[in-house]
Amino acid sequence: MSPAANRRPRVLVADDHAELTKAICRLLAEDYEVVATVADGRAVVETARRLKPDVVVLDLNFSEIDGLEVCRQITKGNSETKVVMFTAKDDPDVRKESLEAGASAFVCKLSGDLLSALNSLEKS
Amino acid sequence: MTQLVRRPCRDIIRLSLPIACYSRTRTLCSGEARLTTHGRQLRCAALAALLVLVAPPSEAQPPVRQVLVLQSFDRGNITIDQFTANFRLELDRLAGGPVNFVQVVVGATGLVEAPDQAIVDYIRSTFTDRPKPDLVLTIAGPAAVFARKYRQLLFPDTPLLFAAVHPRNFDHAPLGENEIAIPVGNDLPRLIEEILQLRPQTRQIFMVMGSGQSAEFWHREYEQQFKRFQGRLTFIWSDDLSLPEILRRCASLPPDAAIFYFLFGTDASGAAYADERVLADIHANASAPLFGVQSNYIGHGVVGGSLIPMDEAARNAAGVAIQLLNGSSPRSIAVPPQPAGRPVFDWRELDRWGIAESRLPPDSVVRFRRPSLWHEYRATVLFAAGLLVIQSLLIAGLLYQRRARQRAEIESRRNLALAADATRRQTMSALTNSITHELGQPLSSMIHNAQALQMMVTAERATPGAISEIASDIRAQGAMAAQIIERHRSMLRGHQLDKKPIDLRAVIHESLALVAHDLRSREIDAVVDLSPDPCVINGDQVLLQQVFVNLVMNAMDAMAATPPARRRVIIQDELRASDVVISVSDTGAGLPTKFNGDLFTPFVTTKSHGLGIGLIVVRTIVEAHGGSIVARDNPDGGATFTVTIRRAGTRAIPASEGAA
Repeated sequence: MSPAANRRPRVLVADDHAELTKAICRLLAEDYEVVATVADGRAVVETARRLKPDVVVLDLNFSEIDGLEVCRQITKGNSETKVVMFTAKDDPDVRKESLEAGASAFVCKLSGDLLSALNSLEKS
Repeated sequence: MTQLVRRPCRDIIRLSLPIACYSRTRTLCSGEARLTTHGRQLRCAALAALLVLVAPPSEAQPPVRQVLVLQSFDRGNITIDQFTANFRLELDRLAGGPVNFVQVVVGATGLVEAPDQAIVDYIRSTFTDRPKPDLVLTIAGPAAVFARKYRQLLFPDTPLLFAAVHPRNFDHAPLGENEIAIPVGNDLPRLIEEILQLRPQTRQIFMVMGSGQSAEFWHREYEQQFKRFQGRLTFIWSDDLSLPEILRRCASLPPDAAIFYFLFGTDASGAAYADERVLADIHANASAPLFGVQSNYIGHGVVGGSLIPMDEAARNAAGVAIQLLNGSSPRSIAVPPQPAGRPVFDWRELDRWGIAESRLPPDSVVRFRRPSLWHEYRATVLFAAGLLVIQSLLIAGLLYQRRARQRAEIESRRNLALAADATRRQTMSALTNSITHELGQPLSSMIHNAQALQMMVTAERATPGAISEIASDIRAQGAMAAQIIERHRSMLRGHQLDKKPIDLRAVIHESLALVAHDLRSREIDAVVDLSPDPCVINGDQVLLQQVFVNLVMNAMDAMAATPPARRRVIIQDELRASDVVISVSDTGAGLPTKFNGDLFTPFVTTKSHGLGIGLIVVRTIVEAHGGSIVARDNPDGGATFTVTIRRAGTRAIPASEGAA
């Protein structure tokens, strides 16, 4: 990810938990531009392709679709958009599967590491 | 037909008049009603002659012995009547042959005011054409006095027996060679002592003994004997009173008085009375207890005591009489004095005058005792007692059964609680992922909100409005987390059945909240179609949540092989007048066939995990709420579990109505 110096990284937040989405938006408001929030897993891929965000903060557990599958579709042939897999379950197997599916980072929702993970991606 | 037939062998004279003794007897010719008197006599004579001809020759009949009985009182005198009757019965028994009695009343109540000589002449004339009497018997004092006075005119060669006579009659004139007496001692002082023993409060005694020479004699006699009671008792004598006056006095005696009835022939006005009547009148009017001297008075109103046994005296007299009739010399016959008999009392009089039986002399005989309820209604009492015993046993049995049932119910509740706890913990264990996810969402929101706030403060961009908004969100998320924790904690806690009025719709929503994550993760739609109106039941929130969580989880498991697009759990209610029906349907594989329709069998399961008691616990919980549960396959696939529970404030519903 190499955003322009005068441009804040653009982030798409995809999570079906409205309150959490709202908190993330507050957290990212200082350094990032939240281009959209999506609660429906099936709409994430299309939104990402349309808005071309720098980062997608993606919940693993959508009721409609598997988060890993969404990750694969977003990252397939698209090196400009990074995916941060964001999940409540800090499971090593899930972490491995997420990275294999094309995720650039894996963050546990209860860890409070989302901002640092995004900053790391920004520097890379 | 009956007719009067003269008995040829007995003569009885009463009140100095010879009266032929007749008895009603049925005879052989009594059926010849239409024959003339003359014709009947002829026929009877012929029949008698025939009987004589055909009768076997018999031995010579013993001679008929004649007894002249001189009585002191007329019929109606209790003592004389009973003495005479008992004497005759005993003499007949001992004699072994016919005995004729000629009875003449020579006392004051007989030929009243008739000259003695006329009576003597009459008696002598009675025996003019018949054998002289073989024995002369006098009964009681007046007759004895008369017989001794006219001894030389009344068959002086015939043995003379004085019966029922006081020894004082012979104080001044000893018995002759051909005379014998059976003395009866009237120990009145001893009887008076008994009265004082029975009624210590007695202070005066009203003496009833008739009037005339005999009464005067006894008045003088006992006045002398009663001096021993001076200072303790006052004796009121009535030999100068008429019977009406005596009765009036008896009716107005004070509570510390007693009446002593000795005998009665005539009153002060010269009128003769039968003492049976006198006793009855005194008894009816008396305001104080009535005592007497002879055993015959028992049953006629006297209280009782150590009385002279006149029946026994009569039998003794008969024994002496038969010896005299058989030729024994009076001098050769030993006559023991007549002792007082066993104390005899009339229970009715004891009861009337409130005399306790504990005051009676030892060995007393109490007669005329009113039969107790036990004697009178023994069969009824036994029957009632039997019924009572049976009823008591039944009640005891029912109480025991009730207690056993209560114990069983307590044990059943305890077992239900244990089983419910076990299965609930197992269910909640299966919901661990759900719990983690459910709790993770608010916690995550709080963490990120806190981070955002921290950054805003650091960058000095935190406005009061923003701070307040974020803090409010954090607090709301914290409350949500606390609610989730409490929801799960209550399901994990040990729990006893605790019924309260609750809204069944809230129970169902809470249950779905517990499994919401699992429903999402398994891509199952939950369709909840509940009535908008509250549905209040008397139930246990936690246990009923356990029921619906279990049913929904069973439905989820049943839809494991169902395509995600068709996975659906439908929860509906139907409010009825007295109960509510909740159905949990799924689109899964239907009920397992290997249980033959009986899913509620413990320790049988199709799952690789679990104890196999989930549904039996569910059914037990529902039944503990007075409800029922049934399961059936849906026509278009899947299964439906239907729970019926009584609504609060309605009567119990029959099981047949409760079962779907």
